[in-house]
Amino acid sequence: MVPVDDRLVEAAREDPQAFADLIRQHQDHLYNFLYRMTGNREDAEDLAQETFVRVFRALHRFRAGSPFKPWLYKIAVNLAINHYHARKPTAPLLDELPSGSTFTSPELMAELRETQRDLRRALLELPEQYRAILLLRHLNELSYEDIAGTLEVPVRTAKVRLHRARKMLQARMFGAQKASDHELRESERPAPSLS
Amino acid sequence: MNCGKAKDLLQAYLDGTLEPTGRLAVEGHVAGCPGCRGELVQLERLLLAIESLPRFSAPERVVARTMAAIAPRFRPTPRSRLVGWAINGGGLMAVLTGLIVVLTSAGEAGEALAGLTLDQDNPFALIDSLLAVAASMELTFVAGMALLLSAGYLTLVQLVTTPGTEMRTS
Repeated sequence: MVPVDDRLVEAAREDPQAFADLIRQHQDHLYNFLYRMTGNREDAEDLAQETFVRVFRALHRFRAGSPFKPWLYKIAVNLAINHYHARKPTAPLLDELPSGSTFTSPELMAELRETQRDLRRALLELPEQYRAILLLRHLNELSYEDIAGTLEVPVRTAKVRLHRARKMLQARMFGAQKASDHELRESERPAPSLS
Repeated sequence: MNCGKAKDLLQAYLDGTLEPTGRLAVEGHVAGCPGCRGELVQLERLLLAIESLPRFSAPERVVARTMAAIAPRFRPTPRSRLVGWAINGGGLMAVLTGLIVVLTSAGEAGEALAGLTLDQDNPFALIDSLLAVAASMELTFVAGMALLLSAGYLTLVQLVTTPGTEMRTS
């Protein structure tokens, strides 16, 4: 059976309706990726549109039978990185409810919200190549092969880069937590006597 | 296995890409090493946190804006152009043929139409008259009308749909 993407891409070369269907098929994943890359919904929307326009312009060069996703994300990653150089991302100010959360405990919900707020900030602080690879793997659930195809590197290099990205994020997240724990302990200590 | 080696393998362990022997070795080490166990739990939580980040639907206008941006780049392919000409040519021929047939055979039907009677007291009189008109029509008139309707329908279909377009690559 021919994969949906292959059929849509083939049809989209000649049929605007098929191209619109191709956009609908990928727009949510792409939009979320770009939102986490830029930290801004308007920018994510603009970049998603620009990605699809570029896909369309280059569709005649796309090799039939090759995977579509890495090709799509290659264009998106390049656009997001260029955008990053033009305008550094900012941490989103809007509060977000954790996805699919069914926590009844307000404390648990508050804790998860806080973790995710720290995570969003830490993600935006990462160098863009590392942010991209983390999101491709853990947000968009691309396989190592597809990530390698997106970044145009061997699979082994993609794995090494992903491991490095995770370590960097871990250091930013939990390193910061250690620092704040330390600050808390310091603040709880009785103030030194001036006498 | 020492801590350095175990920490190197923790990510591969979480990814599920370790061989069974490597997996067992990591599990054995982590079971007896609180430091590495803590690192593993921390890493696992981190990845789960990314995976559970809120997801949003892309605004529907992304499709509309993209399609508007690329619309000028679609143009008919040579094949679709030929199909279009064939349909248009066929439609025109059908219209002309239908008109000629209708005009030449409409005489009798016209006379019958002129004899239509409207009687408010007898609503069945109009139906009777219409049946009389239908009966007086010749087969050629009906065929002509059918041709005209078909041609009109084909033209509408051609206008509404945009079969076969291709991208401008320049």
